[in-house]
Amino acid sequence: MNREKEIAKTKQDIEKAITRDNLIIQTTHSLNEITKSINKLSMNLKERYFLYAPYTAKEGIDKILEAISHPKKESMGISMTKEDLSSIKQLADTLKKLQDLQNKQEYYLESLTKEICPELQKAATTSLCASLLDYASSLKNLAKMPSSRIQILGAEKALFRHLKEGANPPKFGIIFSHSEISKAQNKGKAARQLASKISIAAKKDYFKNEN
Amino acid sequence: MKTETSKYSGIYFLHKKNNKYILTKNLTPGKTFFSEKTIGSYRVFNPLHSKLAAAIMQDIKDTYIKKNDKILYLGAAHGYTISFISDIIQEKGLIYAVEFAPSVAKELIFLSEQRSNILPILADANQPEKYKNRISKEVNVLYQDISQKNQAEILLKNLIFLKNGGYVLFSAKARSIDTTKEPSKVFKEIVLAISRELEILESVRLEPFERDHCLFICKKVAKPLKK
Repeated sequence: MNREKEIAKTKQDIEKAITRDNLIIQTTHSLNEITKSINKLSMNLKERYFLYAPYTAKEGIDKILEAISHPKKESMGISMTKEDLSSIKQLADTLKKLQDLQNKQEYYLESLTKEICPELQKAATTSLCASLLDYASSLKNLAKMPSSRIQILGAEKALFRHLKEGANPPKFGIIFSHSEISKAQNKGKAARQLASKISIAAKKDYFKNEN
Repeated sequence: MKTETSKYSGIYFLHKKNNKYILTKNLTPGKTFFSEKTIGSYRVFNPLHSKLAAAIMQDIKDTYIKKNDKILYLGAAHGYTISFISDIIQEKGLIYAVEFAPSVAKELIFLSEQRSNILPILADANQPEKYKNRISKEVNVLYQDISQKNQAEILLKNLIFLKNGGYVLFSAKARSIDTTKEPSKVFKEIVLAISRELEILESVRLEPFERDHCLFICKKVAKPLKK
């Protein structure tokens, strides 16, 4: 048997098997990381600028970023050299760039989701859509899932506690982040309805190319 | 350092400060793939990463994997165990490595480009008819390591590739069959399911290395055994 040929075929198979919905998943991963680092860095920056200007540092991060470009010593603040201030400024610049990057990535993710799974985006939000795909690991898997499974996706720990120890079953997993559920009075019912809509939308999106 | 031969073909042991290392002779000297330790021209087979190595640590009678064997490996993943089996069977042997997940199958391709005795196949082990025409000769050994609910069923489906008198190494994971039942009960059910077509030679729990796993070593007999 020709081994080279077989390997080439497997390579082709792999190429076919990896679809564009993997892009959504990877983009959310990077977006999550960016958000995390923005939060951490802005906390750090606040504390650092707090030493110099205690009153301004009480404000939100946007105002601090603005203030840092024209730093002004306030009462209770320690005196800082030029070097100290320029170091703070550099951090602030990077933070601004990160925020810019975050906005761009979010915009890209939205357009990407619109291209690959428009129905799913309508039924859930963009961020929920992305995290659903992340949990299911592909649009194909999500389309194959029953709506009851989608409803408790992300609540595996509670589900197994229910199965093993007979605790109450979970009513919702990650779909709780959808505003319709967190607003609803009867959350279990809302979750069930949303999950069934998501399930239909996922099937619509996955099978749209096959007539 | 002195390595000693073992009762298993192609596998060597090294005792050092109360530690026992499993070694295989590297087929591609100087090259490693999984940042594993090397001792001279030998590679260290880690029982925490591979169920086969864990079973060897548990002192099974035989691995039944010899030089020049043809092996069908279901559930290849990154190819850690495969790389060591490839060391054991050497250039003239052949491993058919079946894996379903495309992202890990990529790493399998990298491995097979370096080692001439690995043939990667991207397929679902649930549907052997899809890769039936790609496996040309009957294999001597069937190794399965798939954590699915119907793992015993998958094994029985794939027995068509194994020749009579061939051996099966079947690593069963109790937790993927039923999380609520006791592992020992699940293993009993598996024994019932597979003993219709296979003669079970040995079964070993991999307890300190893998939780709730059991490796069954079976032999395919010419005629199916009756109950």
